[in-house]
Amino acid sequence: MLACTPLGAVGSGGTAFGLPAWVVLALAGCLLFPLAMAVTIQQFWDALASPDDDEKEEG
Amino acid sequence: MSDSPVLGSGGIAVMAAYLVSLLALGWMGRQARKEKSLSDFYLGGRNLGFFVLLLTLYATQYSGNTMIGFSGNAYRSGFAFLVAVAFMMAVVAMQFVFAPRLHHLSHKHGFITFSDFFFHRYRSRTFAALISISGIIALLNYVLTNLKAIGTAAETATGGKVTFAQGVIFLSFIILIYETLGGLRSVAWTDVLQGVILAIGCVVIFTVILFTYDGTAGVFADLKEKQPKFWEPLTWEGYKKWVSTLLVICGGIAIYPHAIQRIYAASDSRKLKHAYLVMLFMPLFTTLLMIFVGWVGAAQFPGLDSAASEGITLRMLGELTAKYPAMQIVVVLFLAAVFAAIMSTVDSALLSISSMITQDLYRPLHATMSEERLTQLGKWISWGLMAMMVPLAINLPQTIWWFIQIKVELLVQALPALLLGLYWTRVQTGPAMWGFVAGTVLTLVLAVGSNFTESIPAKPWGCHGGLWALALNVVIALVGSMKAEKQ
Repeated sequence: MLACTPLGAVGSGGTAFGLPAWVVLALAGCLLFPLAMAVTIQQFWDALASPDDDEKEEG
Repeated sequence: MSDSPVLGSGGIAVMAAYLVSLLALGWMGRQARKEKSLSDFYLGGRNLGFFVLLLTLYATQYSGNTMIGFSGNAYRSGFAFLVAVAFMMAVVAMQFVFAPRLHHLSHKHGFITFSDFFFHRYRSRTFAALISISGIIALLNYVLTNLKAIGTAAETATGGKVTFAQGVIFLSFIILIYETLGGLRSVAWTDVLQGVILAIGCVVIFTVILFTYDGTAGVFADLKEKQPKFWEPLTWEGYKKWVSTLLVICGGIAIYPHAIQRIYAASDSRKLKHAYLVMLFMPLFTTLLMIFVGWVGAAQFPGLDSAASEGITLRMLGELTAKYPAMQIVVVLFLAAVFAAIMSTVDSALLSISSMITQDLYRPLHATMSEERLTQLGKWISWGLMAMMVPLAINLPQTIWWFIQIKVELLVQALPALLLGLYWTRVQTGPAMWGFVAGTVLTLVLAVGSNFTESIPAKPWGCHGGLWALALNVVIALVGSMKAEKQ
């Protein structure tokens, strides 16, 4: 989540595509974050549900 | 308020048809009732399919603030408000961490409310009640904000022919009728209609405004000239504020009690997963578009004060309609989307508050009461709450953003106990509960205290008070549990 924040452009006065660099970085983060999360959800949803070991949680 | 109505007679007819359709959906929800039980009323019989689930999650997550507050904030904060797109996505990411397991446990153990998990996991009625009370306070605050927004929208739409107070009373009445007819089933079905209107409204308004003001290149060129401060580099202070906002708001919104109940209401885990996969991308088609509209407003109408900037979208649409009368349809769509966003939030929050009072606070003291009578009681609670909230909404002056901040900072304090309870077998009841209490108290002290004295900062060292409170909360829960285990 934090990797998708404009950390790399803090303090930078540079521009890209006619916008401040940090804005471009933030927009790129907004496009990449849901893609990365979609893959993560698809991959790990069942593992997080883990119906087999919830008795452990109850103990 | 302006004397000239934003809506003509055609627009008012469309809005009337929309309100009637909400009542019809409420009635259909009642007819589809399978039994007179709490789970049927508050969770739609735990049988929501993919399409309804997706749109009810969507309509619930996006409130009146999306249509009004986001554009206004983008107008004032400039590019920095891109953080709103990030936090709306991060909400789904955060929910992914707990939703799969919580859904499984809720179906296995018959949870009705958010607090049911805490009672099940921590075996403490006190802790469960505290979580409930915190959720009720936060949601009441949310209902209040949205009722104020709906009154303003009604007054603006009719040019003052319907006053603020009349708008609040009339629309609250409509919400109460369809909500108490069929509970979550009715609310979720109306959310489908409201979610579709909201999504279409955002896309159409963005498209119309984008093309009217020479596309993105034209907008950014205008912005650079008229709002040079938007182009200033991001400072470390600004970045800290960005991360703090992201963490607090995403954590708080993720555990809205009514959003948790939609996790319980999903008919199966796969449908819930698919709904979240789509939800991940919705900020690109909702939040980002309304933020862009705010930026266009900043380029076209610079110099507005905070209150005037909240109405920036309507101001631009008004100008557009003056030039091209055929564009009146877009104004109707915008107002329909505003009403849809607000009403879908109020109905869900109200239903959730009613469920928490009935299930978490009243039921433990009246164990022999039948589910049918409890459900009936829940409906009366909804009416009683609304009777209390409407006069408050009419008389209390506040701004939307202030309420939102307090709400999420309070709600987020339940997150550590939720996550630790789900995934860390060693967490103990006492430390988790005291962590929650300490976090809540610190949040309130900072929020309330900063309004009375400058010696208490609302954002110590640039971070939200709720974030510091969350850190304290986590430390108490973790360290306390490890110490208790050693002893």
